[in-house]
Parts: sequence; C-alpha cells; structure tokens
Amino acid sequence: MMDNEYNTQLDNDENNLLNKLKTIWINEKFAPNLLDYQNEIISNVMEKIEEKEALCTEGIQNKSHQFTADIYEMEIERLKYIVKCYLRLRIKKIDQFYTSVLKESQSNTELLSQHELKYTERYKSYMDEYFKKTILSSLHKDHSTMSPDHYLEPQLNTWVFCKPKENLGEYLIDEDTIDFKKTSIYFVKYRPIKDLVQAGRMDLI
Amino acid sequence: MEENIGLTPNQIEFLAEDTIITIVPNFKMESLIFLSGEYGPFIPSFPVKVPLWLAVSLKKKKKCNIVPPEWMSFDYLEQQYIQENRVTDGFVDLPDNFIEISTMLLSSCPEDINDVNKIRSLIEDILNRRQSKLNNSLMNHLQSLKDNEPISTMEFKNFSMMEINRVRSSFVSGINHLYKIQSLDNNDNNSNNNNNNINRTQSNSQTASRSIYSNTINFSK
Repeated sequence: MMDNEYNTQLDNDENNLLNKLKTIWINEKFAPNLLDYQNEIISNVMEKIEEKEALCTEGIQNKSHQFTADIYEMEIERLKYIVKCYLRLRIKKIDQFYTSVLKESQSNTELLSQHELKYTERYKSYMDEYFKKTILSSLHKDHSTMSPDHYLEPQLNTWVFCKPKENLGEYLIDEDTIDFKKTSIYFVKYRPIKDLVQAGRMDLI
Repeated sequence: MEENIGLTPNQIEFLAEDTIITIVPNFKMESLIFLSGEYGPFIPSFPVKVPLWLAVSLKKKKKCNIVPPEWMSFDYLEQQYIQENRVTDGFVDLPDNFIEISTMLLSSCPEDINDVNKIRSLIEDILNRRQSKLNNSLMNHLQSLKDNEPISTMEFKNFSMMEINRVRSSFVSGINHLYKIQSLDNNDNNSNNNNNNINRTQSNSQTASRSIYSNTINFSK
C-alpha cells in the first residue's frame, strides 16, 4: 500500500518533469527574446539521465537485461535531444543579441547559467575586438565606438501563437481587452504577453 | 532573418511520440520507469499502456500489436468529418496530435487498424477541409481590417500544433511586414514634419538630417 502510494506520487512528479522540459524548449523556440535559464529543470533532467546511463552500463554486463537496457537507452537519447535543442537555441540567441543579453543579465541573475554568462562575456570581448580591428579603427574618431543602438535587439513586436496554462482573465492588449481562456489558442503580439510567458502562465505553441 | 521560424514537422512528430497508447505485447518484461512515468509490467497478450515511440519501436521488432486509439475508428472520424463541414467558424474537437499520431500508426501498423484505407482517405479529407477553413478565416480577418488599422488579436479553438506550424512562417512574417509598413507610414509622416521644420528654420539642417537617418536605421531592424 505504502509502496503504491509512493509510486503514484513519483509518477506524477516525473511526468511533470518531462512535460516541463518539453515546455521550456518550445517556449524558448518561439519567444523572440532570451528567456530565463531553467536551471532546476535542466539539472534535474541531467541527474536522471546520468542515473539511467549508469544503470544501462550495468545492464550490458548482464545479457538477459540487454533488451531492457536498449529501451532505456532510447529514452535517454530522446531526453538528450531535447536538452541539446534547448541549449543550442539559447546559444543562438546569445550570439545574436549578446549586448542586450549581457545588459539584462546584470539586473536579472536568472537569465543566464554560469556557463552561458562566461560564454557571453567572452563572445562580447571577441566581437568588440573584431569590430575594432576590422572597421572601427579605420573610421573617423566620431564613429569609432559602438553605440548601443548599433547592436541587434530581439524583435518583441513580432506575433506569436500562445495557449494560456489556466484561465487568466482579462488583459489589455493594445486597445482591446482579451479574456484569456485555457481552452483557446491566441494569435497575439508578443510584447504584451512577454511577462506571462516568463512567469510560466502562458505557453507558446 | 525570419527563416527558420517554427519547428520542423519531424520535431512536432517527436513531441507527439510521448502520447500514451495501448499495446498488446508478446513478450515478458518487468516494468519500465521512464521520466514520464512507470509502464508495464509486460505480460504476453495483456494490454499495457506505453508511449507511442516505444510502441512503434516494439512493433518494428515484431514484439507487440498496437491497439489504435478509440477516435481512430471509421464511424467516429466520419461523424467528425460531417461536423467539420457543418461548422463554418471553428474546428471540430480532435485529439491535439491527431495528425502525427494517425500518420505514424497508418505507416507503422496498418494491419492493426480496421478499415485502414477508408480511414486514411477520411483523415486526408478532414485535413484538407480544416486547412481551407483556416486559410479562409485568416484571409477574412486580414481583409476585414481597414487601412492602417492595427492587426488585432485572434482566438482559435481546437487547432493542432502541426496546423499552426503549417501557416506560421508565411503568416507571421506577412503580419510582421504589414506591421513594418504601417509603422513606416507613421514614421514617414513624422519625417515629413521634420522636413517642414528644416524648411522653416533652415538653421540646423545637419542635426535634422541625422535624425532622419536614425529613423531609417530603426526601420531596418
């Protein structure tokens, strides 16, 4: 009895973990700007992957468990694929918007992981040096520094398809009041719903 | 800049592969504990629920038969198709990933499905019908806009990710261009005003032209 209860509890939590992982990937995919790094989810998933990989190597020594180990290996590959997609998407956005990302990360420590922060700083210093060497040094001194509006910034005025996680009630989007219902899908401007997406109350699809 | 918007159809199929489906295994194995839950134990000829990706892979190895979901029956789909034709301003409720799931099942286990050919063509019909309804409603929405009226939020129901993905790239980039043209128009009015100012004052033409220049920079972003 106790065992069963524990198991169903475990099932629910783990089910949420896979869905959470998929959600953060899809949100990152469709959001034009860089979203906060989901450290808790990623480190939980990585932990599970390592546990299972260890189990699989044990399984290989035992011939009768080979079949089961193969199946677990397939699951691990699927999880790794999602994690990789998520991290690569983030690097792509960082490369594009490194200045605004770095600026935002000063006020928002959740934005980047430790590795990403190091990467962004290094990337920025290389890019700055590159611009200096190739173009800026040969320009007139009025133009020989990069001003903030020379950098690319994410296009927040784009449009997205989204789905509220719960009934959110009424929000003012531009001049219209929209009643966000859980059962519907909305095609809406990204900027007004940006904070809802970041807070995990609205999913992009 | 706006290429590569959206997921590939393969990635959407990948996401749908976590849907739970019933199989009848022909082998014995203990329960599997995945990140999404516990599945099994597997006992020959006892139905058991597993994620679709496992079902398809076991099927390939001839280790199970797949039980198609209830909605994948000819009667049910025919009813939905009739409904889909009757409703003009909305979509019939079908499972979120019905396109991906039915495609995968039709190709991986046709022998497990009754009326497989009829179902295949019926699903095709439903898809075409929904696609043309969607195109029409998007077109109508855009045509109902008056000149320079900002694009308003749209609400949909029962609309699957695969279908969204099909219209996403053309529709989103189209809307973004429209938006750019609209704001260009507005900015044009502003810079005309600037020009007027130059003509009137004649004093600081250099700064004025610089501000027009910075406007153009903004457009190209």
